[in-house]
Amino acid sequence: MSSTRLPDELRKRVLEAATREPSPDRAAVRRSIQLASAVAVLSCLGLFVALGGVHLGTRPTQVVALTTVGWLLIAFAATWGAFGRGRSMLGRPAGWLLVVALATAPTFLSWFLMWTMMWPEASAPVPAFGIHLACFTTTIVFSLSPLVAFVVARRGSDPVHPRATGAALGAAAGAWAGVMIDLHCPVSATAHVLVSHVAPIVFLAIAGAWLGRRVLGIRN
Amino acid sequence: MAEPNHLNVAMDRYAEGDEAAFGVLYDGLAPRLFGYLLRQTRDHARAEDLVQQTMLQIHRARGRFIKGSEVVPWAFAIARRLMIDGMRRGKREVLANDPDDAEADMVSPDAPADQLFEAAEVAGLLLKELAKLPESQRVAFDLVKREGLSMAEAAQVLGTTVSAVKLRTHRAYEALRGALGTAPGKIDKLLTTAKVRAHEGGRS
Repeated sequence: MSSTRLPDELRKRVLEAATREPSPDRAAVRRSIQLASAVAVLSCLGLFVALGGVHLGTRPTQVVALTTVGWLLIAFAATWGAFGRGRSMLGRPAGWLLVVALATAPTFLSWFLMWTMMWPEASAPVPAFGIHLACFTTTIVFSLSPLVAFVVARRGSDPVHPRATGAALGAAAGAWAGVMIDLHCPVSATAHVLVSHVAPIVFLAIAGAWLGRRVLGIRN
Repeated sequence: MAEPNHLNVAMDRYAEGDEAAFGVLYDGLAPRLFGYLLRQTRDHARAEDLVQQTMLQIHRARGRFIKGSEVVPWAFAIARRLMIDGMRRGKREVLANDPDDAEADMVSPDAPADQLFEAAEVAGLLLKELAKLPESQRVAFDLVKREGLSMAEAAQVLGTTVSAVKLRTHRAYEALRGALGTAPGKIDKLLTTAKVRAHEGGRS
């Protein structure tokens, strides 16, 4: 390893600057992450209840239960993959994050298709465009609080691949929104689920990548 | 200079709120960062400024430091990111190593005159050849062979895989060996000379 003599004045300047600018220690950061998580969960559930909670519609209960359990597992896995950093301050490799960002939506859709193929009666006619749009918007709104919580917890912390981290976090937030909208929306037409419940995950992954570069990256 | 594991302990203490640990971190990290940044920017003032920014980023993010993780690759990754962003903003070019400036660092002053001359000559050639390498190979070689980072640490700093770093370092090594026509151990020997010289400089 190389080393080079630095002026003592620089050391003094850096230590003084650090003293002048207090930074949160581990306990303070833990508290702020816990607060952001609690606010995200409560606002997401509050919105869900305010919109009327669970609507089964014509869907068999088993299909809703199986879809929800599978989507919950996918959302947990996406969150673990996107938000966890393993034992490294530099987070997971970019390839790993991209897999989370790209695979979450197709996995959601595959899981849904698997159960609707086993219960064909769960299928419903494709609704009007307005319903697609309303559900798409609701899914995005559901995703906002988890996305904000993820970004608050990880802001300014990724010097290597903030876009990939942002994309993965966006997909994870979209996955949680997907779980909520699937419980809330009774329409089980494949086209509707694809456009209004799954496509927002892709949209959020793209938005997360945009946000990642601006918020998650190291800035001067 | 503190050993890397002592730096991890110091960083952990700092993350827990021990303010005095920041001085230990500075003493262990800043000279290494400065050496790396100076080679990349060739600008003393800019390298000092980047060291300051890097240390302050570490200070700001201390609460997010994961217990048991490595502080050195993280610090190098922050420094590299700040340097790249600064160059993009200022439309500076990434400058390759200056053989004339760096040549002096490659040779121990205590060596006999003929060895000194020969080593300086080969070191100069080595750095000229290093400057010709693609940026990805040069940076990987720099982090692994000159900064002493492990392949895994360098891969984390560069945001790539261990295999990619191994390949880039190997290609850089082979290109240097081919260009200089040296024996396999010669380049390592030259780099070792540079490290001894640099440590002497760091202690003086």
